[in-house]
Amino acid sequence: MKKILFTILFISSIFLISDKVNAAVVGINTLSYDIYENSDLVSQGSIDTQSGLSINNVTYYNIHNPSTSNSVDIKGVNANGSYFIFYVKLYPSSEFLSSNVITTINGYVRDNYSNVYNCNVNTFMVSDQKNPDLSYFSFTCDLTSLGDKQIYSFGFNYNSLTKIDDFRISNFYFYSAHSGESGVIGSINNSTQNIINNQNQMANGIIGGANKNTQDIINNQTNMANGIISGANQNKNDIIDNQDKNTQDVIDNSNKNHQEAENTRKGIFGTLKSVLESIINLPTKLVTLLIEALTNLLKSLFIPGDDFLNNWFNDLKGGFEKQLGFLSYPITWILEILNKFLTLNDTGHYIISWSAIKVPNFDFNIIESGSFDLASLLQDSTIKAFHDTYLVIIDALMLLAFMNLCMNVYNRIFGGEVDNYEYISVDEGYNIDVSTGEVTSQWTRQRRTRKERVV
Amino acid sequence: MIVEAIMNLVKVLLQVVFALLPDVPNFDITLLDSLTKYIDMIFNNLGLLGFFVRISTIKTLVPLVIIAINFEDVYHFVMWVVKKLPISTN
Repeated sequence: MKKILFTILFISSIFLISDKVNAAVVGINTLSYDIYENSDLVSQGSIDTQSGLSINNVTYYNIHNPSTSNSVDIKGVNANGSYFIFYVKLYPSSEFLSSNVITTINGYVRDNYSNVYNCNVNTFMVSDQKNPDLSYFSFTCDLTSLGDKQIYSFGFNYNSLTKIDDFRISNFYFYSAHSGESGVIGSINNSTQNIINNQNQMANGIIGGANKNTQDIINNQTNMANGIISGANQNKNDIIDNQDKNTQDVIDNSNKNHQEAENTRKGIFGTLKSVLESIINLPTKLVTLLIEALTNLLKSLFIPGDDFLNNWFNDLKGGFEKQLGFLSYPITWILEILNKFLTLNDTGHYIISWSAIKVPNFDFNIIESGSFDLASLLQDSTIKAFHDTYLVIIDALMLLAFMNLCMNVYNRIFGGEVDNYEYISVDEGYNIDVSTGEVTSQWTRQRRTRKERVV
Repeated sequence: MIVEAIMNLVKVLLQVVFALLPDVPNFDITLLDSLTKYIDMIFNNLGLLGFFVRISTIKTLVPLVIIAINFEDVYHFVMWVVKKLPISTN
């Protein structure tokens, strides 16, 4: 749990830092990249990172059909067994880009032996707005267990339901826990967009210049007027402040003299009182110290050190993976699942997506691929109110069930456990004719009772 | 100290036992890819769960439930160790 919390804090801090860091690229000179569409290579090139962090003139126009699988591989990266944060901003320029464009997204790294290691999805956000700050995704690849194994490439693949004209990628961050290096590995910008941006900046500059001159004249006049008014106000306030200060000084001096006289009177009695209090409190202090010592002893006996569990588990995991081969994967997967569970986030979008279903041997779709965001139902205020109430009830039920579980565990350990049992009571009777003494009829009544008893 | 010693002992024992076993081969990469994709498919769509139950509630309660379920065993283990300590209660 400590490791996971640490990882979460670590990743958060890296994200905070990564926006600020514009450090030079350390140790990586050239990265090559391949872009695939349904396993077909559609774009290839290299990125020179020596000249700086910004790589221009590399454009990826990803024109593809809906529901295809795409992947981007960035090669030549040596992660050196470290944490690897992989942060991608989308530059939406297409009118088709909307919240349900990308249905699944997976980050991965490959080593020299083509082994694939999956990364955890930290954030995944695609906004309706054409703003790269609102459309992004990121992964964390924990490669610490791989040691110094060379990482050949890292990348991601995604499935998209809608045609995307221009899908651009920017800013890959990494943090090497092994070597302590951090920075931006590379970015891919769009040259066309740069030209448009430059033109827009120039146009804005001209308009801004003209506006600025007019505004400067107005500001100067306003400042002069404000200066005269504030000067007059300042003089008035200074006089009032001086008078207040003198009055407060007289009161403070009087209070100080009174306090000094009081302290001298109480000095002797106060010392005697504190000595007596110390003697009275001595047993309490001794008991407190004894309890602290016992607590520390028990802690050292039962609670392992900070890094002990982490190291113990990593040692064992490494041995397992080496020796057990494929048999170790269940453990790896359980850990991955737990990690993914802990990094699970409520994005506010609950998208159900499905693939197209084809008739065998015919090029005809029975059911077209599609997706539906359940969050769209919540736009109706009545449904949202019902949904909120439903969530509160579910929370309450889960809490009650948990408390019931806790009570049962307590009863099992410390007694008071109740056991259900059943008993049967049988009554039999006879009807007798009083005049003759003859038994006229007989009856039997059986009753089952269920009760709880303390075991 | 006690827990660390016991866990180290368990680790050494496991390492000795595994050292005797032959190396088991790894998964085929394609099979591994398929399995990973399948697991990812489940977890990438797990956000849907948030519509029915609050994710924050699940994330809070599941670790607590795991602790509560295992608490009895942990308690008995701790008591077993405590009883072995030469501390007089009289």
